[in-house]
Amino acid sequence: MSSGFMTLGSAIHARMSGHVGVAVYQNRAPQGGTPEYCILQQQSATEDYWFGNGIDSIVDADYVIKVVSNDYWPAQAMLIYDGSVHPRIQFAPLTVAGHVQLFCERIRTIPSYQDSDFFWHVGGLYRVTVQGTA
Amino acid sequence: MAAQNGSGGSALYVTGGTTLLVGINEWEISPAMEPTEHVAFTEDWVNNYPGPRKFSGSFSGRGDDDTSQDTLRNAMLGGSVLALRLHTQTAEYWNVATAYLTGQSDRLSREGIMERSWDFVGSGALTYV
Repeated sequence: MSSGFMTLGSAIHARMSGHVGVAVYQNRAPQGGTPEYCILQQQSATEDYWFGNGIDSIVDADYVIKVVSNDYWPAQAMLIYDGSVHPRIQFAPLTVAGHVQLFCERIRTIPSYQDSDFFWHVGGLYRVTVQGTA
Repeated sequence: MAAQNGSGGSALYVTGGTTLLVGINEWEISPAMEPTEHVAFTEDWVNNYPGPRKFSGSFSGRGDDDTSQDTLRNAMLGGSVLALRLHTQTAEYWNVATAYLTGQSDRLSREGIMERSWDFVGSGALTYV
């Protein structure tokens, strides 16, 4: 896979952007961005290979996908995450050029927390697994 | 000089031409000899003399719906003879002219990729090309 960060991240972003009711960003929101918004970020990925022509591999990546809110309570972030974000990405058919998707599903939720700037973070950890077909 | 490693390995089956076994990432082959023992009445130590050789092996990887694995499954179910090449690198391989599959194992969990393995036993000579 040429770039798991870009290829997979773009596929997830394309799946969600415009469909979850809030803006979707990779890794961080722009300075001054208006909450609530959705952030996706790759945590780690493994790449397994099989004998053959060197391109037979399966990438298994974990992504945090979360809603960030500056509301006083986390409820608004929870509503968006449970109502729009999670249903949109859970078992989603991602389009990744040159690859066939094997898994796209949540493997755990992340504890809701409020950061030092009083932004609530609500979301889950998803594994996205694709197999090269080139 | 460099360590032999799996980046140039492969497992193929032969039916006139060769076909890559898709989804395999591990193989093992074990040539062996059965020496003949002899101890004379006056000797305190066992003597061994070269005996017949034999070999067996296995290969494994992920379960895949590729036709190459279908061929192996059919050979397993049908008890068909098989010819294999287990490559250590592109131009070097164990040449298994005649073999029979003695076992297949499929393992699938909800969370993962299907794991599949085959065991085989050779018949006749094993060569290294």
